[in-house]
Amino acid sequence: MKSNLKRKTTFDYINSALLILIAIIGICPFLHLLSVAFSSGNMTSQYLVSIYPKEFSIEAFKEVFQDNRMLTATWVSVKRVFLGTVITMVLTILTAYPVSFSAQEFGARKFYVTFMVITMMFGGGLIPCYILNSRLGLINKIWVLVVPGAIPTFNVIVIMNFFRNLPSSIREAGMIDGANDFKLLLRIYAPLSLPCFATLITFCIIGHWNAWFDGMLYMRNVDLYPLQTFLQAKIASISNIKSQQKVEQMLLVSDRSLMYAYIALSCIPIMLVFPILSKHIKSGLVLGSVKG
Amino acid sequence: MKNASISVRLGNHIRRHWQKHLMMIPCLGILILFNYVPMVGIVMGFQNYSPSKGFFGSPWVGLDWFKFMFNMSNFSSVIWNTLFISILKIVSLQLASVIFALMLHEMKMPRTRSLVQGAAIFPNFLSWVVCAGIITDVVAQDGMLNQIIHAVSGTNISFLTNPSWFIVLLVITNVWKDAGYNAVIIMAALAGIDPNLYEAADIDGATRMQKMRYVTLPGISQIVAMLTILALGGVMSGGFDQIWNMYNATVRSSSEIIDTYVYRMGVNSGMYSLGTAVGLFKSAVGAVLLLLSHWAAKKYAGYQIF
Repeated sequence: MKSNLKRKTTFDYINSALLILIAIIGICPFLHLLSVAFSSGNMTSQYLVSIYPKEFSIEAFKEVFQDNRMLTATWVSVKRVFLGTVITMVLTILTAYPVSFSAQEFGARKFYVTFMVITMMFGGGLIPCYILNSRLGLINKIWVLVVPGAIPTFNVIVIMNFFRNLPSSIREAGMIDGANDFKLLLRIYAPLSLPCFATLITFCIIGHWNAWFDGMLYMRNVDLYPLQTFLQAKIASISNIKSQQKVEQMLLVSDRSLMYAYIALSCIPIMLVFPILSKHIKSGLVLGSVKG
Repeated sequence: MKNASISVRLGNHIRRHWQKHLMMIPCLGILILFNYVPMVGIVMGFQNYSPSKGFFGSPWVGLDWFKFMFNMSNFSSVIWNTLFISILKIVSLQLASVIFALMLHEMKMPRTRSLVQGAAIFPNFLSWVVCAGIITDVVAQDGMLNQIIHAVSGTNISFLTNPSWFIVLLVITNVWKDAGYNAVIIMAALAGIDPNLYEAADIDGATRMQKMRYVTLPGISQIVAMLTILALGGVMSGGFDQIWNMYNATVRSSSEIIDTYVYRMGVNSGMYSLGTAVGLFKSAVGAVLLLLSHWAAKKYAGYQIF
């Protein structure tokens, strides 16, 4: 019986082969991205590169590194990621703690929860937010990218669920020893929740790194664009040029290699945190909220 | 007497819980300023708002913008596009995720499995700016995909300029980006199925397909139902990031959604009041759908947000 379970059948081979094929097709665009970025302009402008580089060249990357605006935009993004992650994590943890108590223990819980749920269900929409932030003088300020969305309700729910699943005896022991709420949170809850926080921190970093729309909306000065907004504008301008002119050949760097070099460089931070992230995702921590 | 007891209880509550209330102050402040104040800002939808006159100086026009909106020739197609694209995406994504999760679950090589899983969830963590940059190049007339299609069929497909093919492109790229991550969520439910059920099925002589049909699928039906219901609550947004970064004027007839329309009218053309009115319409319908979906998720899948 047991050997019967372990033996691989035709189904297993077909299944595995299909999955591997899906995975390969799935990463093909990224292979293409790297191949084009590392190929000569001659090859890429004629669309001769598929999933491996031809006439290997790093000219495109050289050109990107000479672009000061790319560096400025990267710096804005780094600042944004740092500020955004710190602010979001501190405020989210502070918010999650009180609502992790049951309504019997903390009578005002229902009020706060309703207050947050309403914002999940209904919003004023894009234009009122835009007008408000302009009136508040937040145009061209980095704070507009990190403060308005500083407390994502989703993250509050994840941390709240994590806090709730901590054994209540630990909390009671702390209370008997005379710990107040701040001490309880700082000395007992926080150290026990570090794995959960780590996951959310990586999510925060990725979210802030990837955000581009608010930069486009609120930054009038191009030098203040975060990287993804800069990239969006860059890609749009490159594809505009492409549609206007005939494909120029025999160049050292084609627009395509250049665009792909920009894109590839912007993905590096994601690739750095991805291994940590995929480990956490597999352990199922992120799904805390989904399981309710 | 009653008042006294209330004030005593209030005093007790504050003495015991003032630190919890203190912790909630930043949250209250931020939510009031950036979520509740804009809700008041929807009055602009009933005004002829001009930035120089402000909220209080702009003239009231009642429901004129809403009448204007419903009389616009392209408004109904914008609504239709939004719903059509959203529903196509939800159905395709759920279907693909379930199939992918089941296939991964049946895979017996743990190393390869985690590699496949890693490859599948990777696109989820890139922005649509990056993904759309790659995709629009890959599917362009001379791009890699069309070279393959040309070699097979002898013709090219204009994914980026043919309105119908563009919708297909949106749906497929959405699956490519999100199905891996969704599948991981479903796999958490698969891992939670009691192994005794499989053993019992084995003893009863169930085949692999029968086990899948009678043990695995019932085990994940709840989470799939919940994910679908919750996604249906967001049917009024069709994925602004993806469409904004991929579309162009030639495919606008099939892919202009409410959010892109609001941005183009409200911000790019400066028609603040029209943008607000359209946005309000979206929020109002969206709120009803979200309430319904959460009610349904609670009733049929036992899900509760808080």
